[in-house]
Amino acid sequence: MAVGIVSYGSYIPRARIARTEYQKAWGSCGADIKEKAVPEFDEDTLTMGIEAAKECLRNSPTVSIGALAIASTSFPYEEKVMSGTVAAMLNLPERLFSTEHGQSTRAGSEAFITAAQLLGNGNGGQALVIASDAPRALPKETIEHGLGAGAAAFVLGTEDIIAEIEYVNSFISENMGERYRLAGNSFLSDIGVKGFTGIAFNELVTKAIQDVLQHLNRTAADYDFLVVQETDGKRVKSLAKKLGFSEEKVNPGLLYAQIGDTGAASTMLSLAAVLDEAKNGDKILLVSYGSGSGSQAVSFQVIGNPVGTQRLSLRKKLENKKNIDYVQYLKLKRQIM
Amino acid sequence: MEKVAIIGAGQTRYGEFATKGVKELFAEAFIEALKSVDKGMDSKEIKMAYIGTLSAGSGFQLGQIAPLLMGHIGLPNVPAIRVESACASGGMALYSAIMAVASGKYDIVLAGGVEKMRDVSSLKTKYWLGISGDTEYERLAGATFAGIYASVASRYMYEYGLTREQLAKVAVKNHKHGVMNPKAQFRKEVALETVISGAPVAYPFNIWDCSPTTDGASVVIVCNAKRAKEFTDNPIYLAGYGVASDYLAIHDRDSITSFKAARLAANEAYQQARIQPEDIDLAEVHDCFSIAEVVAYEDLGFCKIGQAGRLLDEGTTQLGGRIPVNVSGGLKSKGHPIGATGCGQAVEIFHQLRGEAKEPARQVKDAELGLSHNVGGSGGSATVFIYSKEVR
Amino acid sequence: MGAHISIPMYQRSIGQRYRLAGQKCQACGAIHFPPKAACKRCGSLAGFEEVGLSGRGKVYSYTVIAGAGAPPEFTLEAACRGTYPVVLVELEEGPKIIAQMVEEPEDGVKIGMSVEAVVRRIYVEEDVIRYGYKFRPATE
Repeated sequence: MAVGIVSYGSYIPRARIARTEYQKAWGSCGADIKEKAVPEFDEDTLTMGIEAAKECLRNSPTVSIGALAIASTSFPYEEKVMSGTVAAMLNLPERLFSTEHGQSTRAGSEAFITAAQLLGNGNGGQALVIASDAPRALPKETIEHGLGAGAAAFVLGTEDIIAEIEYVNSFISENMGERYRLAGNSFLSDIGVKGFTGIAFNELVTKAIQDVLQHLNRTAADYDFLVVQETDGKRVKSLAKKLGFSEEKVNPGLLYAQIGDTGAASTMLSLAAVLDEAKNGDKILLVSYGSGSGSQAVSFQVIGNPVGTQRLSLRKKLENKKNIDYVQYLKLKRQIM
Repeated sequence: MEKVAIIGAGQTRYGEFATKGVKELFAEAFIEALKSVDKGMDSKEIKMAYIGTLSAGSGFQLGQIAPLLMGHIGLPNVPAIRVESACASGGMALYSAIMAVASGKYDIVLAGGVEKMRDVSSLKTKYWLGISGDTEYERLAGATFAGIYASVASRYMYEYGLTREQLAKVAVKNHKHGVMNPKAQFRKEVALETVISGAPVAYPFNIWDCSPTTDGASVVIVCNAKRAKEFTDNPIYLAGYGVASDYLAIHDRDSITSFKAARLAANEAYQQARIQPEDIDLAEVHDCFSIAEVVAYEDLGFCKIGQAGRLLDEGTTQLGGRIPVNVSGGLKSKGHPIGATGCGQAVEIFHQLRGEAKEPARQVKDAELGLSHNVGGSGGSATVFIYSKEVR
Repeated sequence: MGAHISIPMYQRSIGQRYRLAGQKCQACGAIHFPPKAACKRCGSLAGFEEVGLSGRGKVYSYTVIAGAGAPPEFTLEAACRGTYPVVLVELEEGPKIIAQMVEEPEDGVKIGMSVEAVVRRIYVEEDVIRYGYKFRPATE
């Protein structure tokens, strides 16, 4: 039984901080951002996720949610079932297969795949997937410079599919990767050894991609879009090139320079951006990555017409923004209050 | 129903009194009220008491503050009830006292009010002030009390074209009156330009649109008209009295440019007194915020809807004008110790109608009929009293 | 300390706060928000059926709260935003409701402008996040 995406939605908070603000504050900006998104004081990953979900549900031809999977590395509570809150806000039924995913930036695809699997088991109906993130680090740490915010949501189902899930895989390894956060800490740590930590990313993403190609008997040329976890402005482009994916297949999914590192929501947002441009028959390869480390891949075949008439593309939405200065940024990230 | 009169009235100065708590303030007002009874009165004549207070001493005595206060003034066995209706607590206390006498059960009843607001930090005061609106749906909307009234002003300005300048005239007038009132918290004139350019509070309001936080107490001795002359040759009679409520939250009201509770209360009072608004010689109205006085002119029938700004422009409601409003200084200049305000308004009218305003310059000449208007919060409740020199 | 809203009390109103759950009078069809026991229009005590409100409406009146004067629950937010608008909105189904406005336009709030409801954090007390509705300028 085919399972795939029925509709999608996204939300980027309006506030932006520009690279120049970091330069003014610290003398340089340690991230390849032009600017990045910042949640308002009264927003959090839950409210952003709800915004994305509302758009997604509005654009779904039918709504019959039987499963919910939510993902973030920065949920508002470290321990609390949040599915109930989500269900109450979106008027979902109480009888719901709900799962909550965190623990690394791979959480978004973990939620996506779990929800798809739940449907694939004949549980019927549809699944709602929400990935939302706004990671934080101490202002004096370089890793902080690139951390952004955003949310994406998908309705998955077995009917009215616009992008069918062809294949999924998952790889893990014991390699610290770049970032981690000990229990009880709100701020990310980065071991700061880029060359060493880059190995985890390269190896795990490569493994995931090669496994897909092998399993489906394809090459890079068969894919129209490649979406990869963005943790900086360079790695995805450079690895994609090495693996034979041309620039125009990668560019549509690149959002880092505009919204920063959106953690668990990264690949989900990039997927939404790609769906805005995809056409019937296109193939999309998505690879997520989480430090610590792990990767997952999902291969899609677009079988419908993703772009609905009532929707604003994600790139168009990015134009609705308001720049803030560094002091305001620190306030919004609750670093000085 | 028995006819009702006031035979004595007194109040403390309104202001900030670090050395006086609610007990001391209440006692001071009570003693002055007793002294004001021309032929003297044994306090044992008082058979019932209603005391208005919102915070009950900034919250230290939410339960049974009325017996506490009555015990303090030597009347421990007089039945006493705390009356609460936010800023109309005093008016409701007076209304209750009037009804107790009008019923025929009691001849002499004490009505009073007291509030201690200056003891606590402004953070705590914000809590007390904030709970006069709908806590769940107004306060949790980030709306302060000033914000609620400011929304009224916004809409009024939108519907009727009232200007910032006209609104500012309320404070100018009331401060000018307050200079002449020894009981007033603020006794300094303020220029129109100053009022217009005050520090913002809640658009369109600035600090000059908002009444202060105040300590104070007031006491009124209400008496069956049949016995009034035992105590004074010049009792002041309650010719009419009205009271009403409305939905607490302004979002539930049909219109926010008029306070229906005040309208209903006023109509009831006018009907009972069998007079028209034009017959009123002076009025003490509830100017907790500038717009409240503007709206009061219309709710009380002093002018047509939308015309209140004109009354201010023409000076109609100044001392010396056709219908002087708030010659005491009003809540803005005289002060607003929440529970005490309603009875404090009665104290002013009592003295004015007897020709004994403490500063002669403040005396409204030949006043026969007075009116006081006391509103709870943003109009959830209201009382209107009409006072006359003669029995009606 | 005065006007404290307990967690259970807040919980009882999450239908209203999270998704603008309104009531429709079973006798005359009038829509209410927030809930009442008796219909405001016909007075019936017969009961209501829940109806989800769209969150769309127009600004009926507004004010802009100066930060220093914000209610205690909003002190931090006020320190962040400086001032914030509070709007009285007339919802398209009829009822009016007050809430903060977010993403207010550069040239200020205007009576009559179209708005839509969004879910945001209202405040945190007892380590529990209280979510609720606010309004932003309508996106269409």
